Amino acid sequence: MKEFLKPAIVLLAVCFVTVGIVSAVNDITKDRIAALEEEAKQEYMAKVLPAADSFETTVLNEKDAKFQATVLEVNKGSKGQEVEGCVYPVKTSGYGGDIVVVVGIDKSGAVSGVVVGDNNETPGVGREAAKPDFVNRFIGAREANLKVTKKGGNAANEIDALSGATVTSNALTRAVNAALNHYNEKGV
Amino acid sequence: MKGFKIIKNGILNENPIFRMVLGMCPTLAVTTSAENGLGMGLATTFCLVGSNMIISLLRRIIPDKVRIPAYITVIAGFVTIIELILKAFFPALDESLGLFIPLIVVNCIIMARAESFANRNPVWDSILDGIGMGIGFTVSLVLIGSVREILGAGSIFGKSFLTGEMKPILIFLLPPGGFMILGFLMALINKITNRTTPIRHCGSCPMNCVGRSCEKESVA
Amino acid sequence: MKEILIIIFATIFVENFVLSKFLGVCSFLGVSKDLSNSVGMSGAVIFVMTVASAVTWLVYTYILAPLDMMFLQTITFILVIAALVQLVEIVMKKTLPRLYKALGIYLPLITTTCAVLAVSILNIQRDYTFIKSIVFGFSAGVSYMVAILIFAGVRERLELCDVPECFKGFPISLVAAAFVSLAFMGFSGLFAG
Repeated sequence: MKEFLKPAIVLLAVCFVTVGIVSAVNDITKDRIAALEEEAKQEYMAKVLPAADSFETTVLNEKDAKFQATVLEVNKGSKGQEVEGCVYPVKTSGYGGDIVVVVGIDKSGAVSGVVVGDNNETPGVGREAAKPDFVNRFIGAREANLKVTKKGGNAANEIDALSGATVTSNALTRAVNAALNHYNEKGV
Repeated sequence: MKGFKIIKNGILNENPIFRMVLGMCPTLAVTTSAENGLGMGLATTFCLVGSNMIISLLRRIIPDKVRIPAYITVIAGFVTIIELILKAFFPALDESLGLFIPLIVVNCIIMARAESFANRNPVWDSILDGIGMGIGFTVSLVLIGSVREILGAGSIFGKSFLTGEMKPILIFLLPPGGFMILGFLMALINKITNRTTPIRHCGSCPMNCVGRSCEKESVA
Repeated sequence: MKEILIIIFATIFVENFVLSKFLGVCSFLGVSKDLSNSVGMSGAVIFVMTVASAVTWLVYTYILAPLDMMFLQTITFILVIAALVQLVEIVMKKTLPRLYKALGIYLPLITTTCAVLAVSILNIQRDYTFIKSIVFGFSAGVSYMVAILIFAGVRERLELCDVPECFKGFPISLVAAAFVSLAFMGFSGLFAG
């Protein structure tokens, strides 16, 4: 009996002490981590919808079958009492797996900004699509009928594809379409 | 003098990557830039030194039978601490290393040093061993990361040196480039030091052989 | 149903655990020396990954999440996996001696195969449901098997080659793995609309 007891007690003690120390570290860092996350979120929301200064989040997780994208949240942005627009984080699949695209739409119904979040796109190719050069091509769009062209199209609904990164360009366009679709159907 | 020898051993003679070939997964996965390599190396060093110290302190208390689960718990504790610290103070690094931070737990280097050094040496020596191994690991990661970054992104520690029409060779940032650069660097070091790196049979992780004669068994 | 199929094929080909995510590289290089060892090891990996996915998902969803102790994820998962591997070993030895004979010696290798812990963490990170977690765990195991079997074939050819002295052993295997990984890159973009 004794040779079972000692290892068990020692192991248990090691576990308890470890958990205790880790919990203490967690208590110290917890608030800071939460604050950082909140800050990062506020930052990208302010970037895509500069007019608003406070946001109200509703979790959605609504699938858009037409554009094969999932609208994750609606963040209603306002300044004082005035509603200024919405920010939609949208998940869609790119070249290297899922991408989260954050789309801001202002109160007139036009895209005010796009930011690309976590992604596994090819560095130097698909990842270039996250740069302002490309995402700014979406600004001002109103109808959920955007499409990617390779010929440098000029029509209002044509987005010039990033060379070599058609799949990523398509993914971003689908995400923006899904956000616009949601905005046009459900309003602010 | 002995302390210096222990540290030097970790960096040169028993370099965890180029000599012992331990911890291949983080080595290949996070070395897309020198900075990531440095971050991963330092995070691993922290866990290595901490767990070496604690395990050496407890080496007479922990019964032999339960030493592996006890080591795993201690190592996992340190890994969680560094995970929380990175999240709170270095969020950018946390994001780029991502999944590979919790995976430090299963990095064979830490378990290997616990088993083969810390549980039979005094505390101070074990700490030095952790530092030496940690530096060896970090230096190797930074080396691999720099080569991949220079070739694949055309920059050093994030500073681009490309001008005009020069284009970096992207493939070196992608998985195949990781395997290839490590292979070539290892061969180069072998060439210089006139050695070879044989593949040990039971997987390169020594943990696999811990407490079992896996070497013998898996041959059967 | 479609999502499940996408998980299966995306995990095996597009984000192959070994060749594009670098998970389980240690055992991949160590065990792929001959075909029969590779089959045994990958069988054991598939089994443990599937069971570990299910168990860690349950532990996280019904114990860690309600208690708000998510920060203990790493510690809990690795201990659960270690205990699970032991348990599987004991049970298999008693009830399925033939299977044990085939897979038994590989089981202890698995606790420290980072791929198993990675699967458990990814299940939580990606918000998979219970069913999807099991499917993901299984396909991750299969992706390991595909990689290791292909590579065992490459290694057998490599044995016959006259390789420069400094490349012998690990270096040439890594270079060979680079080409296998390059081939798998051809699958990327497969499931992007």
